[in-house]
Amino acid sequence: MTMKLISTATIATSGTSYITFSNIPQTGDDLFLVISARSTSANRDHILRLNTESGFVYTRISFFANGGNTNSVGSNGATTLNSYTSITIPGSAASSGSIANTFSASTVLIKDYRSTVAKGLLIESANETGNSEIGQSGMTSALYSNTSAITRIDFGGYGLAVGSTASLYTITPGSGGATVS
Amino acid sequence: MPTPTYMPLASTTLSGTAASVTFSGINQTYKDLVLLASPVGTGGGFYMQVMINGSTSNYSSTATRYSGAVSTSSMEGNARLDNTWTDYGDGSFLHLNFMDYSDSTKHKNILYRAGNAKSNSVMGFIKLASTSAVTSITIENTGASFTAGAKFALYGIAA
Repeated sequence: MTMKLISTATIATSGTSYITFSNIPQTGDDLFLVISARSTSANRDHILRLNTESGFVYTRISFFANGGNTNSVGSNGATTLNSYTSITIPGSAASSGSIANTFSASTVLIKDYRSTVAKGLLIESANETGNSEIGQSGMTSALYSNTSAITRIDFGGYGLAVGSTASLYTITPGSGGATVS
Repeated sequence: MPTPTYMPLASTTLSGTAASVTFSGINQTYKDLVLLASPVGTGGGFYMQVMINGSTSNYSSTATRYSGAVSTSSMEGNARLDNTWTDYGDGSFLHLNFMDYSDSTKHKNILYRAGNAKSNSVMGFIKLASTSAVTSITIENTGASFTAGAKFALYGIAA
């Protein structure tokens, strides 16, 4: 397995809506996105959008610790999945009320991003505020039902604070070893 | 042109028992760190915890876990790696991401996931309220010991 950095984006202007990766190289199997974000609003649940697609092409299920409680949100039911216009990631940005120097920690794995089938995503996200506002940590499974290769990723939606960063990597499987079938 | 990353920095496989494992003098040229471990050890009912730069305070944490057919969550003020018992032998795993470890403007975040199919799985988060760069990491098996064969490896992630 080889992991390669594509690029890192850092927010320099307070309140910037999105971190954007465009013209993503079409060379790996998977994409891996690492996010460290702080919101300029009270909203901690920022969104992920692929290929600027804003139709109802996303489904997702999240479960997360919300203080001492376990919460779950998102699509449900085996045959009647709810669809969304983006993927909401619980706790993916520390709120503006967090103490200074506090940012979230999130990772996003996008499987087979160049494939011609729907793409699965596995997301981990968390933040601790350092004050009376409760922290969150959890996981999200998501599906992007469009069959186009992913060439652009946007993360944000509710204002990002200076110093928020995101790094995008490609993952390529190795050629060593043997496969038994 | 994409830049290769996920670079091995250090690793160790224990030849005997040890209460803790420390990576020190950590290279400061990367953005994030990944620590992978197969933390076999002794002692039921104990847990592992992480110490950054030897600090034993100013941590806060949340975790959600599945154990014994029950999912639970917690919010605590320590660096405990929740439900990470090591006495279940082979197959135990620990995977930690240290985000922005060399950034002197951010508090230090750790995303972790751990488990063993014999007992539980857990995903959690720990924040250390310190902007100091991470130069050492200790994984401690509280109240117990790691045993021979326990493996720990540290990687640097470029940005």
